[in-house]
Amino acid sequence: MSKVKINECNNIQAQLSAYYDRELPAWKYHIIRWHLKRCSECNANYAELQRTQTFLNNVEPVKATESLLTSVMSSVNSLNAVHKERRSLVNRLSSFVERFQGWMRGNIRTYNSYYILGFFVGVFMMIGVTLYSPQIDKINLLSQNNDKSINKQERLVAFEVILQPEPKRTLKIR
Amino acid sequence: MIVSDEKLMLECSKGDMSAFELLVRRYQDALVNYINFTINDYHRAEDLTQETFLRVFKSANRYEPKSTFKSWLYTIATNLAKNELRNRRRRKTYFLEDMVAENEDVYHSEYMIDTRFQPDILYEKKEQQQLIKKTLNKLPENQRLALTLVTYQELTYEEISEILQCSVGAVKSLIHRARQNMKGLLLKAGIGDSTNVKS
Ligand SMILES: [Zn+2]
Repeated sequence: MSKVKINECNNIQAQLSAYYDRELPAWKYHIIRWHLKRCSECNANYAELQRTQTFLNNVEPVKATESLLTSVMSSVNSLNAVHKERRSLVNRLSSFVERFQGWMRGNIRTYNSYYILGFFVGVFMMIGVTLYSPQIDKINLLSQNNDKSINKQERLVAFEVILQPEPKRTLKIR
Repeated sequence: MIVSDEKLMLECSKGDMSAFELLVRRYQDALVNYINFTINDYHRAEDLTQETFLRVFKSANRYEPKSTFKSWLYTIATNLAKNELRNRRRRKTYFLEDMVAENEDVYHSEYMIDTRFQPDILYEKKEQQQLIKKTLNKLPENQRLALTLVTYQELTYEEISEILQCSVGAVKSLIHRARQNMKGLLLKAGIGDSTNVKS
């Protein structure tokens, strides 16, 4: 047997399983069919594959018990009940949120400018407070400085209160 | 008129329980059979079939018909069966059934040789089926899965490639090798030669 023939047969035999399952493109399928008609070796190989498959096909399938369907449906139904309950909770929550949103929208439509102005003032105040938070150290320093100035003033006042020296000479009035 | 699986699944995602029931009816036997072939334990196969349907139901509203319903269903079942096998390996549980089957093996090959012993044909056929199942279980996991899917579930290579998450080429070679191995294993078990085919 030539090397080319062996190669060809190896190639064919590797495809026989897919050929059996009809999983080959039509042109390959026909090439193999044609080869099997001529080549006794490959044909024997294919017959063996068919036999193996016949053994497998002869195994009778098992069936589900009668109770499986009932069991599946009852557990699915109980699952469904839980889902429905959860869904109703979510529904209630979302309807509440929707109602709140509607109320907001209605109010904004009616008192447009007031609400928007109030809202923006609030937002700006919040931003202002966060960005430029009053620094407590500075306030303390300021108050300390104030204390010092008060002391100075006090000292100054005290200085002014110094008693007048007695005159060295007295004017005598006759 | 037969309603397609995909349409039933869409109905089911809208909350139609009768559509779901129809799907269960359609696939329960096939799934039990498939999982039983895979894990070789009928009672667990029923449990896992139930679990498969529950998962299908839970993810019904996420189902997108981009692949066939059948391959989606078998993907879930295959993952569950693989988990079962993994857990079993981890637990290293030896099932009584396996031990019995092991003894049967010896017993069987003994009386296959002994020509004086001619049991009832029906019994023999059943016996042979057990042996074939046992042989199938000796294949490497992926080969067994691929061969079972193509033989008993009549799925295409493309569907199997989706289920086993590999290429179509890989499926082709898995099935080819599985059949080659099966041939050798059946011969070894004494039922591979042409005189023993019973149909
Ligand atoms: Zn050839």
